[in-house]
Amino acid sequence: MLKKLAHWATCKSPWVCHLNGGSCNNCDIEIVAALMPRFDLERFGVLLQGSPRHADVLICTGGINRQIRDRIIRIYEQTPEPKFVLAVGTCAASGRPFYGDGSYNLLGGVDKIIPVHMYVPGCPPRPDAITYGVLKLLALLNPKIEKLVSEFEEAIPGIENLVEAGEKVES
Amino acid sequence: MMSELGEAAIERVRREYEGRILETAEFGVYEVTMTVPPEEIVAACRFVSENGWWHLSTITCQDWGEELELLYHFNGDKPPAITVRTRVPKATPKIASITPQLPAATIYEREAYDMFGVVFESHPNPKRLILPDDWPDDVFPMRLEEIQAQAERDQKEKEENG
Amino acid sequence: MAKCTFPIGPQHPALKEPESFNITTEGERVVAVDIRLGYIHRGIEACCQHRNYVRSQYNCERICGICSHVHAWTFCRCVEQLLGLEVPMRAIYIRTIVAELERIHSHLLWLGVAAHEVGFDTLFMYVWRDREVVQDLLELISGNRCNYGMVTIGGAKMDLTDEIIAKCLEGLAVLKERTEYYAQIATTEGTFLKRVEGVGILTEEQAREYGAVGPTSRGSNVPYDAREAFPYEAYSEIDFKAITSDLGDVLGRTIVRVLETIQACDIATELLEKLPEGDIQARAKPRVPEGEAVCRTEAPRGELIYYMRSNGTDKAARVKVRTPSLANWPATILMLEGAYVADVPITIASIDPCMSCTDR
Repeated sequence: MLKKLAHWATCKSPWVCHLNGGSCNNCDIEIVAALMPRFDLERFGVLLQGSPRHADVLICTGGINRQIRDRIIRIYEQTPEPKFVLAVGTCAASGRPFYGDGSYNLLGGVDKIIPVHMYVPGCPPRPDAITYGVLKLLALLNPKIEKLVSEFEEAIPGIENLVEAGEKVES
Repeated sequence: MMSELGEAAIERVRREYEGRILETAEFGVYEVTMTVPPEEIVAACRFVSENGWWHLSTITCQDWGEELELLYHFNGDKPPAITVRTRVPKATPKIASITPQLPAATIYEREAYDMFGVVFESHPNPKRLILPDDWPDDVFPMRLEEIQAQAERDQKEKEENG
Repeated sequence: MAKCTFPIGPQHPALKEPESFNITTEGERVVAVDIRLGYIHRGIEACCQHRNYVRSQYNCERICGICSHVHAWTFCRCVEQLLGLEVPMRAIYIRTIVAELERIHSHLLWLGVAAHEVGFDTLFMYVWRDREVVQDLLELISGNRCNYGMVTIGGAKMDLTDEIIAKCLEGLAVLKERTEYYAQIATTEGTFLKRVEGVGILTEEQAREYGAVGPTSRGSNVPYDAREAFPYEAYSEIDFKAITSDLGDVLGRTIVRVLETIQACDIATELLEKLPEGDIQARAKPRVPEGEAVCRTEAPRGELIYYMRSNGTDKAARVKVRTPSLANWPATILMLEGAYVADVPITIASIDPCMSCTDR
């Protein structure tokens, strides 16, 4: 019963915490732009929180390096259940273009250290794609949100190719 | 081929600098360079910074195998810019720090130590700059041996992962 | 009074990037600051020695998202110098126009973030709404809102059609009008002035001695701008004068950045109107002859310098990048010593810190 309530609250108004794991900060700016008047993620009830204790969704950017690794894991552990992780950007998804071929400090994408539920690749992905990624993540929990997702897909043809699901989400 | 500005600048440096200059040259676009022995680096940098080239842009370090070369890039408000060069042996990479005279050098000298292992004597804060806390003390990732070792590790990973 | 040390970062609500400050205070005053860099260190300089010039250019472009174009531009200028390549004039103009548009986008981003740091969220929302105008222009020109990929070794990647030029001129006129409104707010709005006047003081002598660059030093009356000192690309075709302020505090830096945005609108308009005809690319060989090059560019945050050495192969022997954010940290520590704790966020924000640029 409590689980259903928690899920309902998460889907109605997911609070996000933004974690930068070592990105070039392009994706971070697009995330902030997604909260600005033009794209306005807040109309879906999304609120940017400072503390991981208040967050439902962790939005991670950046390829993980040796220095930030322990801090990201610690923050992930501090976030209360149910929690979901959205990896925004190509370097969060795989570590490229920085990882490999000479990089001595990187471990790869975010999924090397914490489970990721949705990937939004792009360098950087547009704020529309980030919004769509958040909605698709919520639709995995609450099928009623599918209607919003299909409105997006009608308005922007091809956007469904821009995100990819990761770990299984329990609904 | 020397440009007019470059030639005039080199002539002035040779005439007015009181220490030993090993070599002067021009490279790139309006970039002049003077090579000095490592024990004269503080005097050379002080001369350059008091004679129109007041801004220290950065300190580059590069590995030539047996020696590490340090380039101090200075410029003023108009071309040409000047680079003061010196070399230290890789086995004992010690040189005097110019930070007490030119505080702008503090962060660049720390970076040269971090990446190449050059020890700057009398630097006020000789700590590593950007490598992680758990990085081993005796490994300097920009040295040629480390670059080669990383290339081998990458090759092995490619072969393992197909 | 007892001293107290507390950490800010690497993860903190006020920070968009991981950075760690250990601030020691005595009462409300800061007595010492210890900055720990390196949370975004990707080893890009080392990667350039493993990858060929084209791949390294794309890597260097992604050192920072906000000033991606200047990184790629400076890298390509170094390679072009080593190759002895003459870039067509039309390409030079296009690259400079995109750089000025990037300056507008970066300064407006900063203005919004600075307004947010002083608690003026309305200005934050207004400025970022207006910033979408320049984002749309950049998307029209290059296909992407950030990481434009407009520079290539030997010229520019994409050409500007007459339609694009017309839309850009319209957009720039709108941006100039709105930025003049923000300039008026920055200099007359009492609540904003109370938060920025007399905060984060850096004298002219300190700015010179500690190697500060960009609006951080120009806000303290140091008239050093790489576009004026070493006129490169299309800046040698226009009459350019660096903008300075003698206030030496956060207000001075704000005024410099807002006036630079207006100046960038004017420069971009002038270059678009004078755009010469011709090719946009010269052919470049993959193997670069031995040599050295140094290039200085004025990024939105200050002087960006690249040193490159080539050894006759298709990979660079050494690429050294010194970003303006790295140069400004010693001056920031000076500004913070003796400041109130409540002024720490806006003082750090006033140098427009970019940790991904600093750590590379």
